[in-house]
Amino acid sequence: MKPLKKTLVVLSLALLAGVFLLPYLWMLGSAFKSRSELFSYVLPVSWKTFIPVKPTLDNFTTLLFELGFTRTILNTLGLSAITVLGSVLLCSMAAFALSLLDFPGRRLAFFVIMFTMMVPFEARMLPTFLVVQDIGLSNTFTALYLPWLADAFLIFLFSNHFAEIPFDLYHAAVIDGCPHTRIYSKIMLPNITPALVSGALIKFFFAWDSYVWPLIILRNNRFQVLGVAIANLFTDQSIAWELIFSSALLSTVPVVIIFILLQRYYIAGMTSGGIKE
Amino acid sequence: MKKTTLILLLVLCLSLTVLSAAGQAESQGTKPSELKLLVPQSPGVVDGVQAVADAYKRLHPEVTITIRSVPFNRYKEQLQIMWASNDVDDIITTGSPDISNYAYYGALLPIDDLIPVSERSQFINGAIEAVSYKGSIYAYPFREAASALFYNKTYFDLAGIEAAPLDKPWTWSQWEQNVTKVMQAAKQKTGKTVWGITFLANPGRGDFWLTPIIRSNGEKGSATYKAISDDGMTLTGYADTPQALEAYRFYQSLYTKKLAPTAEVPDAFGTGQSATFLGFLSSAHDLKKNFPDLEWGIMPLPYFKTPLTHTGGFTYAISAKTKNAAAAKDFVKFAGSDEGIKAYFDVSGSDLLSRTDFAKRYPQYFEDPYQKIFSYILQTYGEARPTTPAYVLYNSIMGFNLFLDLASGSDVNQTVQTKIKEFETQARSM
Amino acid sequence: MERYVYKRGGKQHDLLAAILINLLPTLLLTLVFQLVPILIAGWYSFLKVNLMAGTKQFIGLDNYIKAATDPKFLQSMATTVEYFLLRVPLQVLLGFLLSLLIYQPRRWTGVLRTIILLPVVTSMVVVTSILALMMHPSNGLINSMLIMAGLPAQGFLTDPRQALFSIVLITVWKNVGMTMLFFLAGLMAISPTLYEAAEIDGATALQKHWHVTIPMLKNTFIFVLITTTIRSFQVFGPILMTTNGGPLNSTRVVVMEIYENAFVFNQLGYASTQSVLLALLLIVISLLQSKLSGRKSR
Repeated sequence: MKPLKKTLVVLSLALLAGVFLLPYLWMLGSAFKSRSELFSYVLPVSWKTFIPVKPTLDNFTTLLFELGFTRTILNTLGLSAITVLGSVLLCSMAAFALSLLDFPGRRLAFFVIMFTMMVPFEARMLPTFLVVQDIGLSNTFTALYLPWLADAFLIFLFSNHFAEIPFDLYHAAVIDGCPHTRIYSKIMLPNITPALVSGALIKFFFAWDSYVWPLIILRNNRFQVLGVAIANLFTDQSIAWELIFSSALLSTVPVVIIFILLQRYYIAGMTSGGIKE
Repeated sequence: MKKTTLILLLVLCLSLTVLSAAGQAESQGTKPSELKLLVPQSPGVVDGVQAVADAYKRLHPEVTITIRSVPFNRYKEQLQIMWASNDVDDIITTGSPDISNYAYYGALLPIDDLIPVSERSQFINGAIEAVSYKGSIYAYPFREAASALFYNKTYFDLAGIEAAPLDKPWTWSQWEQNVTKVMQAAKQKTGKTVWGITFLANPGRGDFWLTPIIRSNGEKGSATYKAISDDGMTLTGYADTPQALEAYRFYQSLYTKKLAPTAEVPDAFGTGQSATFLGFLSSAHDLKKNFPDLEWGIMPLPYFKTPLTHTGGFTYAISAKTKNAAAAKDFVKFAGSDEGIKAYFDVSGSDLLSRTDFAKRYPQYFEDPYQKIFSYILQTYGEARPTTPAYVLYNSIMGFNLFLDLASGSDVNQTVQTKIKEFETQARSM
Repeated sequence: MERYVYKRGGKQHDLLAAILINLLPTLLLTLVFQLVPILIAGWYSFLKVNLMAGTKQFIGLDNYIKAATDPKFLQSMATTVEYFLLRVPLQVLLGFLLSLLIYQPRRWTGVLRTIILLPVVTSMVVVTSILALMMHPSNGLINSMLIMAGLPAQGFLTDPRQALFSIVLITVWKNVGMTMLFFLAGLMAISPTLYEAAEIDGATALQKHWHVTIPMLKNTFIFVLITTTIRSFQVFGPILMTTNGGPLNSTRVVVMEIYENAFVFNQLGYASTQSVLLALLLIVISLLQSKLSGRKSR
């Protein structure tokens, strides 16, 4: 009985993993194929579909050295880092004030923030651009991430988690003499780490993958972001599929590495659930 | 510890902000001789225009030129956003049929003085008209394009079919007969199931590629051949003639008869999965580079009653809101001159040109055999695309959506009528 | 739920400082970069805006009347609702189940978690185009495997009846990892003492989930529901990359209408009207979802 159950479990897990991994396996092999080989072995499916007959590093060298992907990746890393740090900080602070404090206008502020989620970006990208222009920030790096710092989704997420924190904890700290201005860093932050990590991940990938807004804001090609660089591979006359597969690999690997490094937050969160005093 | 880290991070963010703002502030100072160009990511365009800019700077070292490139399928959107701002790019490159559309909206600067009347005959037939609006010229025609049918020689030989010579294109019924035989032979002798025809993007789309099929079913000068009214605003009576509908039905049959694929097949022709392929000059170069073992040839586009292929390529135009009109005009004049053309070709390779006299002075740029073929096709069958100040609308509705719907199997009459109505309504409220 | 209340004119300077420092920067940024542009777009909805010519003309409610009677717009709304009804249950349920799976600290959990999150961290442009290739009706990897398993090949993105669902599959595949993370974060906030208490009372695994997990996850669930709903109604990128609204308009969603009206037909005013209507619809739906799920009001 036991071995059968174990096999079933293993099989279903493998199937699950397979569903998510299959495109990547194809991508992985294809990234090392030359253009002529890329689509020659798709039908019928054979080992050649996933493993290049004549592996080549040409795609990567083209991307990294001719098309400047190294610089692009570094740029985008920098942009994502600033976006994540800034928005997680600011949004969690705001969520704290909105969830655990009360003041005249609180409901209105919360509603306004939630309301901004409802309008799709495509509808407001032009007006936002005009606003940025009027402030005089057109074509600056600042204009790139500044609109991203106040994120209603993040505020909503953090508010939810702050709501789970028992008020007594706050009250006790105040009685102990902790000023309200220090409550955030002393009490609140340590207790919502899982949400902070999730929020950080969302924001990071959002900035990492962004391309429409940078396209509008950046008026010169000196600062290139990854999303635009990849979109540039889709031209009117040809789609550089061989480069697309390898760029996919290049854009996923750094993130996966960061992710693996962040794993320990999850393990810590899982083994010690509950409220931290 | 946590709090200090947070404060440090915040300080870091703020200082980066200040630094970058300061850095930008310096380069944002308005210099009278600074030109900004906007180009789409199209093979050869970015490098070529950069080369032209470099050559220009050598003659005018006091001018700084910045080139910005954006992904091709976002180009039109970016143009609009750019023109909506108060800091426009001075020079843009865009396909010739779009010019009258942008001129209609007042987004472009007239440049009649850059092409004196005496020089206008040096341009290929229809090139100047294509970039004119209400009697003024709004762009400098640069590159041209022409489409042709590539064929897989190996498969054709297997079937014993000989391709059409350059001066005698097949009719579409001849094409269908021959290609069916080729597909059968390929299946029998190599076991491969190949497509009869594939396009640069499958299923086919684009006014440049597909409308010639429809127009060719009309005699020259007929409504079907013209495809649109003279003022460019009416399609009723032009795109819905019995001949046009017949041609649309033929196009749909390509998909129902499984001659053409209904979903993208990248590199179908290069990987030997299709008997013929609708392409242009750069397709020839791509094939040579990426699929050197393939044996292929070029024949002119098949037709019904009148053979034709669409022309028009990218042109240089100047934004109406430019702050450096004189410098911009000077640059465009240079880009279109012999020196500019040479600079472009030296980097991006030669191509078909709107200016016909350049070839006479510099024949060395026209030695490529494929270029000669396409040059011949351009001269013999070339016809400007339907001229309309609503070209962006026209291409989107009639060039893309219509053909895509037909490929998905919608009713021909109904779809054509719906799309015509949509175009005319939108064009009226432009 | 209690809060610390700041009363106007009170002497709680410390509390006031806390409120201002924590809230003001974000509020300011929201005002400038989110609210003002939305108000501008709202203003445009009453105008006929010509982006390229730079003209604006007040036309009152004409755009709204046009939108209410525009079959294309209404159809796009219907398509979007259909997409929402397909995607949200699938993504939320799947995300929840996956989070339960990943919450067990086993040896393979870390690896599986990373695998499920891979699609989230890959560029949307790349993921959609590669998945679209895999879904090719005759040459695609997926159909190759179906054929090998003896099943008929599917049209996926080329079949008007399957295209919308294929897009759902692509977007769920890409985003379920994130939903899983949200549920995970919620699970981690559940104090283990609650489970211990349930066990003392003799509850089985299923009962533990029913009486502890699900109620405690209520707020997370509402969060996931509302945000996935909003994202579903605003879907655009994957459709632009693959089907472009086709085949036969089966994937023509609202944002596609908005985009086309703004940047192809050069009718930014009308596009803004459609955005306003979409936003209003979303507000109504979010409020309904919030009320029906019995959100603990703060």
